[in-house]
Amino acid sequence: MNIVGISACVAGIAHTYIAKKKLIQAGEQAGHKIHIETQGTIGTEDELTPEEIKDADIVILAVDIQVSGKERFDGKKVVEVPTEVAIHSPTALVKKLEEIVNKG
Amino acid sequence: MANLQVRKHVMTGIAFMIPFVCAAGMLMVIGNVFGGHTITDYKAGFTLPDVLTTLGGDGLGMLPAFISTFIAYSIADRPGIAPGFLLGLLCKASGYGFLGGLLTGFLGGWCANYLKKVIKVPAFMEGIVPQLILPLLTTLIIGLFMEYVVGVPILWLTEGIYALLMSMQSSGSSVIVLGLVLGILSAVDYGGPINKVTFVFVMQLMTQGIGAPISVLISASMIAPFGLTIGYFLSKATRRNLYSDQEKDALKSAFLMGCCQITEGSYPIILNDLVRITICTAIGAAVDGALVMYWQCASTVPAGGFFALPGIANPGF
Repeated sequence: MNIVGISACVAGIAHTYIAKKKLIQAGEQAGHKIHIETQGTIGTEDELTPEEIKDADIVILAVDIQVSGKERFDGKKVVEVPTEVAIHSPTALVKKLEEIVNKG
Repeated sequence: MANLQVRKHVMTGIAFMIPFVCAAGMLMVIGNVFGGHTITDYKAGFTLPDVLTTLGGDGLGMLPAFISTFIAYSIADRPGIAPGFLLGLLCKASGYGFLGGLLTGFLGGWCANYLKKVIKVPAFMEGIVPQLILPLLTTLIIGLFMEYVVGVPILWLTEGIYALLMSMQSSGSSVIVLGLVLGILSAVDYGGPINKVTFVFVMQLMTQGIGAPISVLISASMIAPFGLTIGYFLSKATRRNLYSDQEKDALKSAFLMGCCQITEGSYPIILNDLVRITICTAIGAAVDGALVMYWQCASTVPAGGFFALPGIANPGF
């Protein structure tokens, strides 16, 4: 399946990027296509394209703070967790996403 | 109302505030190092250090307005910005301090959100709502509420905490206990939510002129990266290989970031041995906190790690 998402933490310099890395690792290991946008202190990087969002089966937000551009996901299934969850148990998180998508 | 997401909004405010505090704090430190004083009369002439000190000091004085603005923004998006800022200025002027700024951020944000929902106007007037009605009504309602309802209790509260801490400072042992607790709270989750909540508390104290607690936070935040670095050299000395190559790589940037009081750089190493490192960090931070409080190393700068040293009293060894 196709996963898109955003990661963002408070300081916006470390957890944001660790969460992104872990999510992508776990997602690709499970055979999914995954793209994560980061909203760190430096600003938005690796911005999601409208096509990616359109094709996505599910949206994962690994965020500790308010992120911008959530309206892009209107009508999508959106799961929001703290960055901690994505960092400590990314594989379980990806499995959970699969369950949610499969349930329809 | 079930899910107010208070923590998330505070964290968003702090996320915006960190670069602001760093820049203003550093300006003030550099100015102070070169003998700068706050400029009161521009006609009387001033020096370059004076300019830096004033720039930084004014910035730090604006903290209540800044945090208020971005909490309101986090809650209500753009309509939160104007009321958040105006209400934060009111907190600065009335002496409600940082706590007041937090409160007006939330009240302003919620009020703007509520008004956004309930105000219904004919289509031709729609443009006027976000431009005029939302910011005006929100600022008016919350501003009056602050001044006439919660203002006095907030002053009591801040003065009460102030009096309590001042009385603690006169007895050595309770100051040490406070230092122990603050040290642990500052360091134990490596720049995570506990650290940020502690930051809010010590920040409030700093705006009231009690500078030692924030020094505890500054130094305790650096315990983990420095501890790991010292551990690395000890492991070298005792010829025991404690770190993987990947961890050694991470340690370099962790140490550098640690010097600037950014704990998060140590995260990749800490994750590999969470429990043991956390116990060590807590012990180190507790000792550090107790010493800082005991020696009264009061800071006038809210952040900066090593670079904050010139702004901290009694740094000697």
